Amino acid sequence: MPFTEILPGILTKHKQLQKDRIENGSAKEDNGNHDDLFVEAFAVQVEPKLCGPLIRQIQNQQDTELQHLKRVKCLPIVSRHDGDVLKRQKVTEQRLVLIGTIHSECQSLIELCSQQYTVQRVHVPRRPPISEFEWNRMNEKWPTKKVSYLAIEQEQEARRLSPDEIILMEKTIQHVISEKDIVVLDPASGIVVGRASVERRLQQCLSNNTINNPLQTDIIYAIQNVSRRERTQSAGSYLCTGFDLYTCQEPSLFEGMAALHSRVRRILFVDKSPQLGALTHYSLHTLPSTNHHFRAFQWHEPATEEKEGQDNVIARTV
Amino acid sequence: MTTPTSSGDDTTRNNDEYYMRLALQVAQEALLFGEVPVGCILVQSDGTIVSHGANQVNATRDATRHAELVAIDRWWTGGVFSDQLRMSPEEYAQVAKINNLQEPALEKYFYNDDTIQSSDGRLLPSWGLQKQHPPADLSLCHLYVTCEPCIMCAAALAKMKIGCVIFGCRNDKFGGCGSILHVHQEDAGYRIVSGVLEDEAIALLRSFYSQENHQAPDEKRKRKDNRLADNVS
Ligand SMILES: [Zn+2]
Repeated sequence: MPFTEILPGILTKHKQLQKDRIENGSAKEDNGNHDDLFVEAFAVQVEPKLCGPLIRQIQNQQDTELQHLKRVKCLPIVSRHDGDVLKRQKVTEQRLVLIGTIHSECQSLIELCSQQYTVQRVHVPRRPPISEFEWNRMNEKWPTKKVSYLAIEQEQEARRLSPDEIILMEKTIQHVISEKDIVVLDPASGIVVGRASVERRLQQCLSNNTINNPLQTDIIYAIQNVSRRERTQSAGSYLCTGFDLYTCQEPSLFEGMAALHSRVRRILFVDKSPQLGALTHYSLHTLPSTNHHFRAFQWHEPATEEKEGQDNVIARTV
Repeated sequence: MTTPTSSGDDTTRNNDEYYMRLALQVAQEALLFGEVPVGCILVQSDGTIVSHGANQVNATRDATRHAELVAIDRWWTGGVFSDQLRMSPEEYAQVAKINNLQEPALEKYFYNDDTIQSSDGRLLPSWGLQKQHPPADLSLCHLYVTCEPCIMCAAALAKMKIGCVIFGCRNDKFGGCGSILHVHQEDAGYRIVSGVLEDEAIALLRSFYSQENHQAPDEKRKRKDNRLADNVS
């Protein structure tokens, strides 16, 4: 597989986890056998008002094993008379505060807690969920933090890159390399809808100064060529929505944000930017605050002896 | 006109407000054309206004046409309005038709903007007439913009080595000068001054969005909201 997906650092852990699971052939998501999903842990039962002080007391013990878990579980109140679960009431509400798993080095902490509180054994998820389905299942036993399912969707979609799609991507990348051009492609039709070289020629006919304008880079020309098409052909499209940008060099921050504003679907590049790249350094395509995210791939010339199946999409953070 | 500096004393604050009011006026014009009202003014160290720009994303269908880039391009091309490089008058007429805009007004906006009327009715010196070739960088220039530059514009301004950027309100979603990224602090960087006539800038943006919400029919509003979501600055 000649394309590496550029993912932001925060997803790496999850990504690695999933890779390990596939390689080890361990835990399949839906096999009904949840035992390996959960691990035994220790928790103490306290009144809500004691939760805060207790958490402050134990929070110095940074335990990376627990990062995917919420610290506190609210216990439902069971009426003595009929066993109905009632709405939580302040008076009788109880909380469970997680101290550590049986693998954590928390013996001293447990001893400390047991002087004041009752320590209980609970079951908590061993690792972050890899799907919404799994998250729901985990939550039944212990409140678990929701991870970015964008990552999972991206992952699943990446694995679904069809052979045809890969052929089109490779063909376009080869074209961009040989023509030293930048191209915006409509992947649905396979038609090139914007070309830096065309726009550059058109604009330079009108003003010589455009040639030296530091802001008129090839990626900007390519994006503006798509705008020209939309203006003149009433193309019914909006900016670069649904289109992929192919470039030899990774966009700069300026160019990457221009592409983001234009709502590109994907950016595919060959060489990492020599400066701080919009994708490999800034992860601009997955900034949480922006209203548009897109996927980014780096192309690698495959070694001749390489015979990887398309399952081996190895995503990594660059 | 005095040299614009932004060190915080009364004179410079007055200066800043003076130029920011002009930027707001440019933004106001954008509002008339259905654009998100963001405007900017580019001022040389001797106080001469050398360029201006308003948001033109909708008219041009070009997401790079933020006020700041329009102003820089405009200056760079020696006073030729940057969009003339990209669109013929016929294309503009077509856009006007699609957007139900009056053509003469559009013409004024795009071609005849060498002067701007100040609030007391004077016609101010024409930045459209400053046809000198620009220097390679903007290190002696101050940019007054009504809203914090987005990451794209902040990076472009760094690339052009701008001297100082003075802005009104924050850009929570895309801001490149402190809100999302701190582009102005990277490498050589540039100075920023924030909050100049902030309330006016916010009021202008609000007037745009409330206008959208009250006047547009549902379907159109939806489409516009989608289109305008990241046109801010
Ligand atoms: Zn901008």
